Amino acid sequence: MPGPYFFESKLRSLKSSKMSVMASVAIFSILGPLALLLVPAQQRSIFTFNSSQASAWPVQHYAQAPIIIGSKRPQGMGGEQVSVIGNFGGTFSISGIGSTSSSRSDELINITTNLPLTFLAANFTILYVGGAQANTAGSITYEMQLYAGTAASVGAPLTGAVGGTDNMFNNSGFSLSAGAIPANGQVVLRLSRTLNLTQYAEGANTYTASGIINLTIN
Amino acid sequence: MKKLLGIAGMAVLASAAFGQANLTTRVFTYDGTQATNGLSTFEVNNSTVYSAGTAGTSTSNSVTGASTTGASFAANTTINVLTYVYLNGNLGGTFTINGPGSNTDIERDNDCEVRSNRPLTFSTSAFTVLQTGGAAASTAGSVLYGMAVFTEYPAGSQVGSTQSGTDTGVNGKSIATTMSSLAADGKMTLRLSRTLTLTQLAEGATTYTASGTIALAIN
Repeated sequence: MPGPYFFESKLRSLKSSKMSVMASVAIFSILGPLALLLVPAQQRSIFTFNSSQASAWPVQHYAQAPIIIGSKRPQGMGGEQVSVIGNFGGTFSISGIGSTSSSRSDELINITTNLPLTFLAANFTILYVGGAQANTAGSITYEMQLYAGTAASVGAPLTGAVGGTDNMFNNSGFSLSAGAIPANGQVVLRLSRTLNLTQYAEGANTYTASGIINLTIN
Repeated sequence: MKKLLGIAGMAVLASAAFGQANLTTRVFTYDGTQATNGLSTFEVNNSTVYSAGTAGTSTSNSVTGASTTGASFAANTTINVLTYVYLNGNLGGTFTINGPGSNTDIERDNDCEVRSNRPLTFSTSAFTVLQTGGAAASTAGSVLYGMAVFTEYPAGSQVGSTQSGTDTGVNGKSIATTMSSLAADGKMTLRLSRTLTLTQLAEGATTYTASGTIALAIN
């Protein structure tokens, strides 16, 4: 059976440990905010301040779960990182005659993000030639879709495809939710065009069409 | 008695080179390269926003309204339609005539296939009276020519009216097609018709000739 001295010793040890914890909390309360002010702008916080967990943009641009809180952008935390690099334009050259459709031509645009995104088509037009409408010459059917991966290695679809012909493509879009962002944050936007020309598309003419893809960072 | 009349020397002048591609439809080439279309770059790194749009030789990639909440990317398309005109067929004709007297043949048609994505004009010139041995022989007979254009090949519905004339009387006639003249496949038929009339003076064992030119202009 343990004697009275044993219990007294344990109680003393417990009190000492509790004091130790309280002291730690007090020190952190004083130094924590000071340390937070010393964080360089390029570093990003994860949950609580941790200076060793620096994120080097753009080499590391991970969409880590703690950063994404629901669908809200983490205001004031730093680390909002979105990058879009690619070509949205397309140029066709057509020989021959008659009414024919091209095969689908894809533009793959590299995106890295740790935030939910929304893509929306706007201001897409019919064909024009010399500033005049030329919808009798043909039309373009657009399609847009997001995939995981990069242009060099397209992965699984993250959204369904949306599409439309000429100005009917306007208001087509989709959102990439926080939960759908791949672990490495790498996403590919596919913007596709299928050109349909009628026999009235005249040789030695240049037809144009324009439009905008709006990106919203949620 | 056998009479021979050869009509030769019909020529088609085209300002476009007839290549060997022999295209029967549209052939699409797509260029999605940065050099041709430019490049869009947009980056949000914390509160820092960077955006840039460069121009290619055909289209421009512009980034507008760049902020920490988004950006707009121009998605422009340029479509260069190249000229394609193709004409294939025989505009010459040879008659062989037996028997005596004055008589007129039925109309003989030469149909040529034309494929085009441009408006065209066909014009006649330098048509002659009958010739034999280098001399005019209009007393032996004449040729009534008709020139017409039809949609499709083989010939569908006629475009415009037939331009006709006898011997030199057909010179200076023309038919212009428009883009709306084209059928969905872009094909047309150029028809040159001949109706030969011989008098009793068209002598046996003699070859008569006539010539002329149909000029094609790509408008």
